[in-house]
Amino acid sequence: MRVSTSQIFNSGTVGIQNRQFELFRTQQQLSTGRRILSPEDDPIGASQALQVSQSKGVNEQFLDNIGDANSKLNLLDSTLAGVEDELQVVYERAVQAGNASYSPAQRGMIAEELKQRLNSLINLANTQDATGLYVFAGFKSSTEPFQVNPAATSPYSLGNTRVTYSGDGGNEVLQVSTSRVISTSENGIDVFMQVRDEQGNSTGRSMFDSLQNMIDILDPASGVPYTAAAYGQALDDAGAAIAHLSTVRASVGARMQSLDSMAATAEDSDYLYETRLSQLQDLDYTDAISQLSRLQLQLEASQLSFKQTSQLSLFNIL
Amino acid sequence: MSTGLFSIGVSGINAAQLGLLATEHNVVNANTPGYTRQRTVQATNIAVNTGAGAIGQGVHVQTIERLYNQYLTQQVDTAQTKVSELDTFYTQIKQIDNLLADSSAGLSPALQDFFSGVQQVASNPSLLPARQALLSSAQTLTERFKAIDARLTEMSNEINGRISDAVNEVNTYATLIADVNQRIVISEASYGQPANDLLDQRDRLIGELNQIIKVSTTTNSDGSFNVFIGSGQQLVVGGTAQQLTATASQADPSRIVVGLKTPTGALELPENLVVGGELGGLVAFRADSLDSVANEVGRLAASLSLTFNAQLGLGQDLLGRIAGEAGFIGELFSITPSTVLPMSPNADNTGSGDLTATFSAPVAPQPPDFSGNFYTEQKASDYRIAFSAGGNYTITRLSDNFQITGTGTGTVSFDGIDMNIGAVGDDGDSFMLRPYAEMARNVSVNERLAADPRLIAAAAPVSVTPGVANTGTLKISQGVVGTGYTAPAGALTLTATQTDLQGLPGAWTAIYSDGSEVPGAGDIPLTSGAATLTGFTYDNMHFTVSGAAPAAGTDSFVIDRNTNGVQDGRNAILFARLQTQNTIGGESGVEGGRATFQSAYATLVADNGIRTREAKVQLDAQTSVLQQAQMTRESLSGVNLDEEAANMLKYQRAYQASSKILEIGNKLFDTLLSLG
Repeated sequence: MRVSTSQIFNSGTVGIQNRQFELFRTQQQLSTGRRILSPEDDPIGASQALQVSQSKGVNEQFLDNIGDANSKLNLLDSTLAGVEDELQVVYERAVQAGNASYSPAQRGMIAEELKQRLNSLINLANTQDATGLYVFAGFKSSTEPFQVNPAATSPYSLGNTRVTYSGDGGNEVLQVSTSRVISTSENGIDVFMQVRDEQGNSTGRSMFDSLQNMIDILDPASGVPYTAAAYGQALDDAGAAIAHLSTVRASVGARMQSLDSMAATAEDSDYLYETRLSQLQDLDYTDAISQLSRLQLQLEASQLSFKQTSQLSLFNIL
Repeated sequence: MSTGLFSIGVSGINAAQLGLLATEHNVVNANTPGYTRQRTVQATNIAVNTGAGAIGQGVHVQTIERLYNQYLTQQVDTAQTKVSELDTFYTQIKQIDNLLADSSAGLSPALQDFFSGVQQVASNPSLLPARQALLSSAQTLTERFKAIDARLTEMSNEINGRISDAVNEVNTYATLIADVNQRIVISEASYGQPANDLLDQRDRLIGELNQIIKVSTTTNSDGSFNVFIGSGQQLVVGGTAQQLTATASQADPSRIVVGLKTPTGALELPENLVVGGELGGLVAFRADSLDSVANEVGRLAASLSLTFNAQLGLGQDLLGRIAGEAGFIGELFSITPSTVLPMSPNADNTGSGDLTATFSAPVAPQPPDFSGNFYTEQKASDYRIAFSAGGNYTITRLSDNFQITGTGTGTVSFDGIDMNIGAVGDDGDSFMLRPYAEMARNVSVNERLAADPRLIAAAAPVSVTPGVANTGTLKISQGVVGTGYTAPAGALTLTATQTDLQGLPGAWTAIYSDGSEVPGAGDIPLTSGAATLTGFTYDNMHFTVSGAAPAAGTDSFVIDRNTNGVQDGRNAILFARLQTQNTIGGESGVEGGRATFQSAYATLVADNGIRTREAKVQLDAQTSVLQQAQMTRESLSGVNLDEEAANMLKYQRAYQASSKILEIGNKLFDTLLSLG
């Protein structure tokens, strides 16, 4: 075939340009570490990478939420532990006060201690978190939920309660997986007001009512007579309060446990998403480097052959 | 006899001279674009017939011919116009491809960040910094929408400018071709010989014109060309050139379109006739890619705003205000300056049709339990509304040419759009509706919300508080509200007896464990046959019920406004979920077929990436076709300097030999003279 002089030059430069472009691309891949420089390189891969990184982002968000939920439940649990300790001491003192040999004055001394315990119990029920929000107020966390009601008279029960609750029945919830929201708080009704037995039936008296009843029975100055029946009832109530609180704590503990397992799952997923993203986006360095040397060789060959061919001319010899 | 010797010698010298001239012409034009190598065509002179036979009379040059093949040139032109089109298309679409996937400029990271901000509010509804974070990430998102829109608008303006420039160039080429045509006709008529260099020049002009728009040619008997574009629209006829125009489209003044100049103005060329070359590439890119990307981005902005706002509107802000109350801002995203969608009447309309369109409210979660989520039925497309006689009209969705027909005034709803026809147009009138064209730039964060993060409605508007003295295990959930809910004006006390839930002052729908939904009014029975009550819906609020009624006496529950419910993030959880729910592209009356925001965007990225790749593959293929065609043409018409060097030697030798003939003739003459 006949070849024109400009063809020789053109095809030489086109060849060199093509090699140079490929070399440039490979070099870009190597410097960014990315296989897909723009979606054009692998449209489906690029779109999958977007979806995977959204899934990864959402999963990370859930991990954050799990962390949040865990710290909220931890704070709740430690407060509840404080309440439980308080109730334990109250129960021990109450048992102690039932000693038949105790005089009214001795019972009065125990009543004095129990009054302090009641106050600290109310304080615990009005616990605020680091941001000043009342932990047991339901949604109304900016208002102090528990107030002593001076108008109520002994004996106290929920219909005539010693300490009123002005929070609501709300529980904070957090989304911890696409399908699961978890409650991260307990409201005052469920923890303090409605002391429930094992069957879930209300005892009809709040923790505060029970404790105040006990104090009144033991305190000679209260005007409430100390009777074995009244004392027995008050002691039962104190026991029920402890049992109730253990149930509440067990429920909180179960939630923390399930959060732990969800966190483990979410971390696994995170790793899987990361791996998948890497598969979709990341460069195979071995491959790219060998490609780079191959292209380099090709470019050098094209340049050299161009130099040689372009020097051939009959005019040089004439 | 010796005179014959001289004349033969001279004819040889002349022929050799012309041969040398042609060779030199080739050598110096070796690098002239579009040059076709030339050579002399030699023939013998007419012989003198004598008794001794026909005596040859030497040589003459018949013509100087171009080594040219019309079909090879046409092949190059055809390939070239395709390459120019694809190259323009690819260069443009590549910019979008990079823009969409860019990790800092693309939409994807901003969308992810926005929903992270939303989650923070859901986790800490009463915390002002969390609310501020949501607003900042929302602002980043709207800025990103605006930035993408600005880039797309810039590209659209750039295309308008380039179309105008290209049309000017086409007109210049048309004039030049007409001019060269005239010169060819004159030159060839005067000498009866081909005007080689002018022919080359014209071929080159046509080749360059093909880089702007695909043209076809026919040859007239006088040697001039006619040049056509599109489906046979004349651009050059012999020595006269027609003009193309670049004017604003009748249907959409924001875009410059190609037209033919007519005595009365311009006749728009349908875009499918503008093919090949830079113009073809620009028009195809605008129609196939730019518009669809802009529409998809606009649709995302619109759907995100509408669904998010709808859910936000069902909430309660940190100050305890709900929808319908003074100071409540039921939207995070504002569509400014107007929620009225851009509708442009065709400039040729004769009637006084009056059409306005707005987005429909998103499809809401349905009673009785209001599960599910808000979604839109929007399609990323422009629409043409064409009127025919009698007020009949056809709405065409331009992305797939799906049509809806109707007649007369009134409101017609389609694809998540409500269009009101106030007055019908004349027969032949048309309107262009571009719902998403400006949406990405028109979505902003509501200014009042931006100034006061407390106004984010993260809480639900109602709550349920059980009586502290309740003895049963019955529980009523905090409640979910649906569109059109009416929050109780005051505390609504429900009383649970052993058999009923009493106290709802109106109609309700009760839901039982067997799945039955029973509407009623008055007391709600706690059981229905063997099934127990699991929930009820009242005034578009839904509550679930569990547990058992008190064994004796009554329990009470108070349904009320969520007063002081600052730590409630129930509504925030619902709007945070929009991230992973299918919110976009619903089909009226069809379950499914919808996508999340992110997957709609990912689809856009994939579609655009595939088109870019396709364009690149085609461009590469066409480039090889072009190179092949150029090779073939060059192989025939290109100058080879070695060959020319050989030719120079050849003609030099011929010249020397012919000179020798003269010398010999001279010597013969001398001999004759010396005899005398």
